[in-house]
Amino acid sequence: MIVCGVLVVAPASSIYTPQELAHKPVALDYGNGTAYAGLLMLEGAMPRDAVTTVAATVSPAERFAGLMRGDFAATVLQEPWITVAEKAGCRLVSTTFFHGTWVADQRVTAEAYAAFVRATTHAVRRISADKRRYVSYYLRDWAGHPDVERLTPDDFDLGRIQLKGPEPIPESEARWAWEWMASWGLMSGDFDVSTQINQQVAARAHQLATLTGLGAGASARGAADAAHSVDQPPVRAIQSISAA
Amino acid sequence: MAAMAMTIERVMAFNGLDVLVARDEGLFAAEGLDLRIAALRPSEVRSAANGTLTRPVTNQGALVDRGEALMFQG
Repeated sequence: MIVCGVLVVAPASSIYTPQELAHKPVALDYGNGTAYAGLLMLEGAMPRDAVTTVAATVSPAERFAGLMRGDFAATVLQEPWITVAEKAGCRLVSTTFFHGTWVADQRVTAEAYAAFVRATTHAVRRISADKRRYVSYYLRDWAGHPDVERLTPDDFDLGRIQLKGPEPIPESEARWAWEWMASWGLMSGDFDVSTQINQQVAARAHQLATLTGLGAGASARGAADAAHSVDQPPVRAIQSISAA
Repeated sequence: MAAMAMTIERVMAFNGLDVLVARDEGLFAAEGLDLRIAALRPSEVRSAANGTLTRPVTNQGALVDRGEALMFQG
């Protein structure tokens, strides 16, 4: 699954570009993927010492409410709250995408993960063939919330809904994520692929998934492969996998 | 042959639409996988607003840590 995160400012904001968020408070739900996506977007627009963040709740509904109150200059939202914000007149000043990465306990077998990969890859194909049909899932997550209940499937920008089946994480990307997080003081120690990715389980699972139901090129990125996404300090993910 | 069973931590559409659709449309079952989705009790959820950038407060992995789930999405 590819996750979309967007830096959003309030309708009356004077900010139109991510650069203009320098030294302005941006609310991030530290420890979660959207927070690291936000940090990446800000870092790409300004020197690190100009990046100014404040802690926020993991609930995008609460972050959106805080943005509208003027509690901070910007925040990062994900769907359906990006669409809610757009309908409320907010501006999207930067958009990014990142892999959601499955972190697996040592008890996950290659066979079970292969079945997981096959099922989710088939789901990716179904959704990609008719995204509008599946937008209702975003609404269902927030059933009863008036801001979301006002949305219809036609309100969604389907370009923000991107899917890709899981596939092995390239070592270079895992190393990059580790080193980037370490550079922010989020992790310590050196990246060591041999202890941090259970390549045996990952390789076997993807081999099984390909041999038993998926066509060429359909094997997946994700799960037992380790911590690529910016969603979680890789140390935790990698430790749990390497214990296998 | 008995189905393989696996419990994962809760996902939402923004980060797990594929999982939710696979579950609802029987795709896990078709692969012989009894996939279950577990969530923390509301009283157990800690607020990320109480964390800092370098010392975040996160609920991800909590069920895996205590042996009640096998995977979570980071």
